[in-house]
Amino acid sequence: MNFRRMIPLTIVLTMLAALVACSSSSSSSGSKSGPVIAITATGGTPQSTTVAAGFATALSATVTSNGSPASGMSVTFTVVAGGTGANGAFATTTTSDTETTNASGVATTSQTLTANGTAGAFTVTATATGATTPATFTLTNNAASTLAAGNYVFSLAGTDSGAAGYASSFYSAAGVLVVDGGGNVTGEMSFSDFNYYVKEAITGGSVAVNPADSNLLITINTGDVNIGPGGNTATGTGTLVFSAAMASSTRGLLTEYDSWATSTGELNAQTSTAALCPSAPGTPCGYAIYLGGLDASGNPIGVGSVITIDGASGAMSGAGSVFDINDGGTLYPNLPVSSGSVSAPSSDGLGYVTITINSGAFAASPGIVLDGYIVDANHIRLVEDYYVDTLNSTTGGTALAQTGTGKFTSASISGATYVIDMPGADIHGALQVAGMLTFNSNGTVSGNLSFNDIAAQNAQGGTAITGGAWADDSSGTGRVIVTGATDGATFAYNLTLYETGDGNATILSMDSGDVVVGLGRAQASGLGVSSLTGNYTLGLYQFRSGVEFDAEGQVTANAAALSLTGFTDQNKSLLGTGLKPNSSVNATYSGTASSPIISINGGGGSTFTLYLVDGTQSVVIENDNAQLTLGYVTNQ
Amino acid sequence: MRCHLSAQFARSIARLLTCLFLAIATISLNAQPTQSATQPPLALRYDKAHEITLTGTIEGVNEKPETGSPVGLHLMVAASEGTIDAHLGPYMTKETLEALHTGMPVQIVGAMKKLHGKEYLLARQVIFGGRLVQVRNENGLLVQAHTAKSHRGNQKSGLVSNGGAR
Repeated sequence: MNFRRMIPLTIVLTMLAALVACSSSSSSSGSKSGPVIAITATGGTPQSTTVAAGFATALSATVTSNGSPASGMSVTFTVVAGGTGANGAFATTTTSDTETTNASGVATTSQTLTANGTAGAFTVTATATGATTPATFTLTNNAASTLAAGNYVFSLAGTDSGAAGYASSFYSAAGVLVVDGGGNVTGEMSFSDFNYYVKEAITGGSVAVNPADSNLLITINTGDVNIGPGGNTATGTGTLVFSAAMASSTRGLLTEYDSWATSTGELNAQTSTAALCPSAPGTPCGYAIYLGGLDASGNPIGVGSVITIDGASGAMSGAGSVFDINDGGTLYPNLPVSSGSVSAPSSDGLGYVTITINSGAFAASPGIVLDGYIVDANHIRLVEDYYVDTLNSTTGGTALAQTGTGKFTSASISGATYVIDMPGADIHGALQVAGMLTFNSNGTVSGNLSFNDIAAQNAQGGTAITGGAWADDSSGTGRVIVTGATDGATFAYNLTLYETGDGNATILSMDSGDVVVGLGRAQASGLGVSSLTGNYTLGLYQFRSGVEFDAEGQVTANAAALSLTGFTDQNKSLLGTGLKPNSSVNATYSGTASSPIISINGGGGSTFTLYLVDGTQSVVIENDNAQLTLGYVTNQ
Repeated sequence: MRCHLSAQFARSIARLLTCLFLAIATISLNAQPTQSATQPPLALRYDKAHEITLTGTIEGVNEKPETGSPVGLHLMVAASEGTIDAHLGPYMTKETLEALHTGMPVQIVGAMKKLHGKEYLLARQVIFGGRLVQVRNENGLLVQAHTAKSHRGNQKSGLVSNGGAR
């Protein structure tokens, strides 16, 4: 072999050796490291919620492979209890939730994580195959707090067991709770049922966190033997218990929560006890009012009104004031007010006023006398004093301050949509109505409505309003008359609204076949199913087999999973099954991106329709024939 | 106006005349009750114009009706028209419930109503065992007070704007 022949052979051998070396090197490298998989917590940490409440933000973890998003990876989120016993649970699979990463490498929990009843911190870990270090989410359960020292106005309407010797009855109550820094309660209240009216002192009581969940239990003592457990045998304890689901530190939704009565209502921090309308007579001011309850014969009765304070010291001349009555389906529209007054607030600082409305429609004065408890500049809670007035009915309600009193025109409401919710009665018994009412500029009404009286109801999603008209009463009071709001088949309602000027209204039906009263709230635009997200407080006014039961609680709307989870405290005492604290709520919901109407499906085939008011509040109604539910939902 | 005249009529003609005067004065002063031009909800209408009086015998007392029927007490009444399902609602007192028995003669004033393909008699007034129970008012709305004792309100006046409508 000569040298020239050796050169190519050497090159070939060298290249082969290099290839073998490279191949060997590459193979060795792959078996030791591969792609680098990593997982990090990228959403929902840290966050906190109140014990027993849901965490508002879903947990998200991002998985990468060699630094790039890894899609299709399985990620398991696992709850790890904290040292204090603080813990959480996923809605259906409790301890863990397994999800798959999307194209961006992100996996997000689809189940709501709910805090347990113990305050403190705990963690959730997220793991993915190949990732050596799990992602960690830091979560905190905050202890529920009781009410801060201050004055709070409460209002309730529902059913009690009756005063001594009487059967169960509709009742209405309102008052002021004076809470000190130690959780002790005093104050005063007005109470009215079919057989008994009283305005009396709250001589003691307490506020505490319900040990079963994060709602508050408010106990008030009056010493009145006609109310509270035993009240139907004149041996009452005089003690009432309220359960409060707090939407904030200053506002909660209430039920009476004892064996004697059940009801729904609201608790609000009292921010004003100032005299009403101090600027009159120079600048008159008005209030839109609704009252609902029973007349002296046990017929359902509703009153809607606008009162205008136009004199000194709360005097009313009658100008700019008007009221309507639906007394068991007998209608008294457009009644004039001859005179009236609103007293100066009580000197004890509790913000109590007496509102008197007189009219030639009554044979005697005073026509209507209302105990009022001032919440703030815009709200007064009302209980009728039927021991002294001529209306002689067991009613309660609310007065809402008007803006622009006396200057309302059709333009004040034209083009607006109001979400309405109205409980009451019809020929089959209890009736509940909710929906959306649009006041079209051509004088017609449209929208969507749901009603339910068990014997008849429309389907989930409500029914479109296809006919009806509206007109402002042209006197500037803000009274708007809706006639024949109908779907052409199942319902036709005549409703009178009393505007406030700031997007609220009181409402009274003026039909011979029903009596419903309630509130309307101007609906925001741009609402859709995604508007229902986060933590909410809800209050539910319910009937089963004609017997009232109520609930309030807290739920979390998971917009990704379209689920509602949470709890309520239920009072089923009048049904004979007692108090049901911390009852779980598990429901799913659906809707479209551009509709404020959302369908909710609960357990056991129960169906509901929710009408969004805006991003913070909604009303909900049950659409099946198993039971009645009319609820109010508000953001926390 | 609630003058409760019947007990006083024989004793005091003058008092009767006073009441009548006040009633007339009230009616003349007051806005009169008016029915809306629009009918009540179509599914929820009480057909006052076609009230019937049913006479028969109680065949059954049912406090837990089937789902979808009006809630509360139902009486199954055997009458010449056949067996009629009469709806009395959820507001009957314990005394009334205890007094109603199978085999008892009963007379019911009310209006027929078809719901979900089934006929019901929506009872306005029930007479049995020598007693009369007012179940609904003249508009068909259920009356929610059936206690033997009375409302303890302002007895001197009452709601008079109804002009004695009830």
